Amino acid sequence: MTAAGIVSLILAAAGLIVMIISLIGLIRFPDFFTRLHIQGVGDTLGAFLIILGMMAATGAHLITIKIFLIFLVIMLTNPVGTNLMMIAAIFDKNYQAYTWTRPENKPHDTDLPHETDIAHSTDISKTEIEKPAVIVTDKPAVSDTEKKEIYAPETAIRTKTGTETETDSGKEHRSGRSRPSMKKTRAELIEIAEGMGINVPDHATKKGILELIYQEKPELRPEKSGTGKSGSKQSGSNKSGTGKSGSKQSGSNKSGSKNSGSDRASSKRSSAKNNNSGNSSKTNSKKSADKSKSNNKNNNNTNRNSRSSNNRSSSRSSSNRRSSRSNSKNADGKAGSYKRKSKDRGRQI
Amino acid sequence: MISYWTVLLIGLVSILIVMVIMMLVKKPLIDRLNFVFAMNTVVVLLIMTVGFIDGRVDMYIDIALSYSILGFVTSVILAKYIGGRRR
Repeated sequence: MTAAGIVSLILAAAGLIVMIISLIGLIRFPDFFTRLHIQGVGDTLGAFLIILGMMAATGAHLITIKIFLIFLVIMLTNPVGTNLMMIAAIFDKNYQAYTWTRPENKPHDTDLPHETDIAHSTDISKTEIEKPAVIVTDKPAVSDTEKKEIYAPETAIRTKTGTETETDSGKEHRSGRSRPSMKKTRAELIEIAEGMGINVPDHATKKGILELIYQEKPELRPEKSGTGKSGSKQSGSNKSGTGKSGSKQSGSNKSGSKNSGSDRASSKRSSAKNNNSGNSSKTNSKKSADKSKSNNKNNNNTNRNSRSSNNRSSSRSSSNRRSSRSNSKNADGKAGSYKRKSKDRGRQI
Repeated sequence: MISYWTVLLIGLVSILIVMVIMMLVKKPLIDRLNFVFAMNTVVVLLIMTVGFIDGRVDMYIDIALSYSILGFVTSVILAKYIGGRRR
């Protein structure tokens, strides 16, 4: 027994032991990603030791470098392969929605083997997994701040009390797919309607189902006016269905929204000042809780339009600067220091 | 004469058989891909040990080198086919 023989024996035996241990890990580990890690690390180590043993057996020859080249190839390809498999697992649609749901929203089994097998079968009748699943639980409703973090287009979990006691302070950003619209399929609309508790007749069309949903929840109805979003938000927050129940706020805001649209179009021309001044007085008298920017801009535009006739120089940048300053300062929308600056400018000119 | 190369051969073949069985038994598709990828290294080492038992190592090294590269390419293709698109 030469020295090289003993060294190669020890190294090869160690490599074999490592390979056997990694195989046991490949079988017994609970999750796919742990198994992936074992394969990536354990196999390369075992190969390294065995190849070192072979190099010791050949001795000082040119062949030893070639044997080391084989190990180099294995060393380079194993991590790349594991990374690819990880990507294939994560972005596979039906692999437990591994990235798209939070832990409390995941299904309970870690391995759902039949789903992945069905997804990759060629049978068309079995590919119905992409429907969004509606799971009703007793958990409390998710708070508003958490809703924006959830990005779960596939599964929608509704609680029994959450959908009715929700109070929207405007149309917050829900994940795009939970809103009913004509773009969804009929099956999805039926599921949403049944989740809300509507009896859907069998022969109903998409429009009919949409109408039923909007009757239940008028806040989901999209606004037809193409004006700023503030108008639609505020009208959505007041759950008065008719809108004529003496809610001055909604009335003034609606007129404000109309004015905002018209003002944006005609801010460059000085349009009728009387209407603008009248509305500005209405909105200024009430301290509106929602300090929407369009309303403030509306007031500042009205102020500017009413006063620009007096001033000769009303450059856009200076007026915008004035409006931005007044936005930050006052709740009424009027700038406290506005009068002074206009008068100074007038004097300078 | 039982040298340690035969022991190595027997061990590697047994590992290979177990991997093939696990590939057929495990349900999720990606686990099977994992085993296919693990068999690459085992087969490469197997070729080398057969070379050592025969006495002429320099014939079997080139085969092992090319097999490792080809096996990597096939596993890449399989992963791309099985996996989903990056969203």
